[in-house]
Amino acid sequence: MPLPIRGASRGRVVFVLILLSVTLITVSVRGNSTLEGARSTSRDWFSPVRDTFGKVFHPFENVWHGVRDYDKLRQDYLALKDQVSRNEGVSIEAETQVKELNELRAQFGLLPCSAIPKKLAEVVGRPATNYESSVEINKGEDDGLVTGMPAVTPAGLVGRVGQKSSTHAFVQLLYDPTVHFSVNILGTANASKTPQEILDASAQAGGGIVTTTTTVPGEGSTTTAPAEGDSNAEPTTTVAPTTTVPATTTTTTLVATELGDLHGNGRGKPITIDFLRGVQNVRVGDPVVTAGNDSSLAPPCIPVGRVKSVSAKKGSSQLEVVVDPVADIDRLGLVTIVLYNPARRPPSPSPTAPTTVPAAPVTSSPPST
Amino acid sequence: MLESLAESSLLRMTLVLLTVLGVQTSFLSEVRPFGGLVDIVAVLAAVTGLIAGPRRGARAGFMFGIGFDLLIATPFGIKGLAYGLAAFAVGLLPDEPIGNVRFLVPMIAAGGAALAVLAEGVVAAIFGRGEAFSRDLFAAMIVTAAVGALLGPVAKRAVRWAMMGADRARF
Repeated sequence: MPLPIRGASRGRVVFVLILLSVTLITVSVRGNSTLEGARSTSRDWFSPVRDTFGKVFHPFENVWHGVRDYDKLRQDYLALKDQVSRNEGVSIEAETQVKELNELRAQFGLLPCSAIPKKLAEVVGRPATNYESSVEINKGEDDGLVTGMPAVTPAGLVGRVGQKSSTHAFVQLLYDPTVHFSVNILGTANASKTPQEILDASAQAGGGIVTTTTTVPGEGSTTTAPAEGDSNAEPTTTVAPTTTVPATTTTTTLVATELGDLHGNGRGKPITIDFLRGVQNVRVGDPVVTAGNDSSLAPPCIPVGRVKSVSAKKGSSQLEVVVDPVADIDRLGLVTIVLYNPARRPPSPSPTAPTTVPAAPVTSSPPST
Repeated sequence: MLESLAESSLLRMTLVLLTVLGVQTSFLSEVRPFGGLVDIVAVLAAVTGLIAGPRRGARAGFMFGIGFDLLIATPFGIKGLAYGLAAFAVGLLPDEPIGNVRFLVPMIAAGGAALAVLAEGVVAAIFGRGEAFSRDLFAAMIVTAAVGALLGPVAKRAVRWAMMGADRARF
């Protein structure tokens, strides 16, 4: 039978416990290098223990997922099989466009997206609390990771590097409320606007975004530039020659963009975009990509997702845009860290530069007739 | 020296904690029944409060939480406070009926663990992590309580072993 404990003693225990904990939490929230150093050392030291337990329990995990997720996985498999067959044709077109985009970026002295070094990492730890929005990866400072670098999958953006140690790091997922990315919503140009209005709006929104479509005429044919406003009525700047037989005609289409702040709202809650500027012609289904500001460690052109819904924000003139991420954030096995350093990025051209697209993106021209 | 280390209560408790943390951060972070995370460190803290009483239970619960906090990316100290308070609350329960009625241990382990999970959500929400107070929290309370009821007797044996027998434990 233990000795009776007086109420004052109990109260003192609780008081000391609360005082100590609140102090630690406050120090942690404000950021303390000693504390973070201790945490990163602990994680490095503990990682072999966790890996060992992970290997031991891996078969049980598989059984769990097999029992619980079999039907869903089968549905996903069939849907993906269907999607792959439909995407085969689209991917060829996309590859062509990516190549052209990289050529254009090279002409403007911009780093091609594919040239940015990357580091593949395996997810070794899932969120260990109910409200934590991070996964742990097996790459750290020794691999060149810096806090803020974007983490992607082949589908698109999944988060950013958070706390790190020499060999491991946490990736804060997109639905973490502390994760913010500057993003562009790529909308189709509004037919009611003149090209100059679109240009102004685009520049105001953080710079014009340029997409290119290319048509390759048959040998010996004559290419004529389409009339402005023709076809899909989108404002276009046409740079195609009207003479016979240049191999490629490049039509540059300006796309109205909205620059905003993408952030999460917690696990299971929508990912939203705030502080939208510009022309605000956002529509459901518009693609969202990173904007790549100078202060951001995320380069431009990383796909984020598509606009899922657009609504008026309560008590504000701004829109609330919900984004449906393209990457499956809840099932990450491998992630790629984009080792992007904006300090090494060549200076960007002025926002109006894309309007003066040179008429020579042709890499291999057959002789004129 | 090795003998004294082997007999050290601190060493045994550290071994128990490392085992539980290993399972928690590997297997249980992958398995989320009904969307709720099973927290067996909370079960350990609650059972320690039951075995060791409020003062020592609070200290042990706090240390368990700090140990867990070292490995995750949330603000440091939230789990320490939550587990410490839960262990303290469980330790306040009277000795007599618990020592005599066998099924009370699983029930108390379940309730104490659920309390620890709830306390963690509340503390996290107070310190700016409002997303902690979500539907997942209540799912986590339920699944943790269920696992606590199952593992309560095992955890009791482990804690008693770590505390070097019944001479320093209540039960």
